[in-house]
Amino acid sequence: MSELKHWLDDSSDADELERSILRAGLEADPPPAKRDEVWTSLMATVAVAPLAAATLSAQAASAQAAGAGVSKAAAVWLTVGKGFLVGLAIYGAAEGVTEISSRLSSRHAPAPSALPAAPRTKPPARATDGDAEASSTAFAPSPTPASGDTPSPRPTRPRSSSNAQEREPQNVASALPSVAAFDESARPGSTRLSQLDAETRALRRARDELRAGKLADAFATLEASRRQFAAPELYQEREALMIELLYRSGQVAAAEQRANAFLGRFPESPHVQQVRRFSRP
Amino acid sequence: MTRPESHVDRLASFELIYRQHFAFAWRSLRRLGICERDLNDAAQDVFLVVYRKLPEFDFEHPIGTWIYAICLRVASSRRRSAVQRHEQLGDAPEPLEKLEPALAADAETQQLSERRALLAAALDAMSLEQRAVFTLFELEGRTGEEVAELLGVPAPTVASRLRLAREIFRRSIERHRAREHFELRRMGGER
Repeated sequence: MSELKHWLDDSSDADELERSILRAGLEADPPPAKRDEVWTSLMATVAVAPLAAATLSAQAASAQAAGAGVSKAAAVWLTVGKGFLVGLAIYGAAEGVTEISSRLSSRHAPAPSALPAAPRTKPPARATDGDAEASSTAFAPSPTPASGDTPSPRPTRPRSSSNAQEREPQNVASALPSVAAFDESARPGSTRLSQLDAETRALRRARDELRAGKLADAFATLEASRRQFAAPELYQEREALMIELLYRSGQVAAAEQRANAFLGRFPESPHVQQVRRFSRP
Repeated sequence: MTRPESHVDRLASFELIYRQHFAFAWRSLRRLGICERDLNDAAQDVFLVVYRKLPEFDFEHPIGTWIYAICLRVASSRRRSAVQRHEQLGDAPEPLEKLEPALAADAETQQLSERRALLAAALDAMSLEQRAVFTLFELEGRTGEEVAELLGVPAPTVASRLRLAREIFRRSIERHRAREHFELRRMGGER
């Protein structure tokens, strides 16, 4: 075994082309921001996934029903490619809706949620891009909310650590709902609109669960959506929901980081005012 | 490092392990064929397993070995899923490590890009086991004994896999040389 020589050694029998090809593969370290980015996602999962396991089975039926309750009118909007509006409707960002509505309502018919129509001004970003700006202070798990400038949604304190440990699932991944729950766009030959439709239903479900205080269900739904749609049409809406979810589940620092990254990346997003409530000035 | 007893200990231990081993896990996943856009998710998968299994981990054993084993399983699982997905969609498998666009800004960058593409093509031709041995030995610079320990296989198995992987690598490079030679001759003939 010890007689094995690395090909990058000058004394090996590899030729110069082979060595140069190997040398080209030496640089494979992650960019510095990646470590923080993945850590932030991990902390969100580690903090909320146990709740998902505890309540998922009991809530599965009702969550499924909620997900199926997409109105026909929404489908019409999807069909004409108004993903931007659908995203607004999903997140239900009152301020953003009002602002956009005042600007655009004269040009478009109302959407199912009484929203004006407008084309997406920017292409949707990929999920991984949005997180790349997470700050280097991401290594601060589970802080408690600051008392001074508490935004309007009241954070739900995480369960005590002992409870969390007791309820921790043996397999986090298996506790999450199958992506088959939103599987329309997974069919061969499916169109971009069918993905938008599926994303819309998933995010509507997550929003409803979030607003109902079913944080674990909301997390599971968002996580399933994230895994299913690597290049989401509704990235901003999903991220805005995730930020709110993090805040409500007590992950204030993570929520602030993602909110700040969101605001930096999407300064003209209709969700800016909503997301700003979770950011740190 | 000692076995974490409480939830707080566990989180602290996890953070330490994460800090120390994230770059290694990232490099390993990349070299095992996880494409750029999936690296974040794959790394998250790896460290979720680490977090979940941490209370059961025997700290007498090297953590790097454990983490590499998890990387291998995650890469294997994603490789299977990718193949199934492409079969369903009827697409050709996506070439791994499409690191830079072919149109590089300058000759040096273009050459580096081409060589990375050649490396990626050669690695893609290997089995995951051969790829693991080859990248750990040739790129990570581990010794044969270290590779054997990391993979939990006997030393002769490492030597055998490395020999086969090198043959595949060389065949791939030879194909490239032959194509280049052919192109040069064709261009010369046309002149």
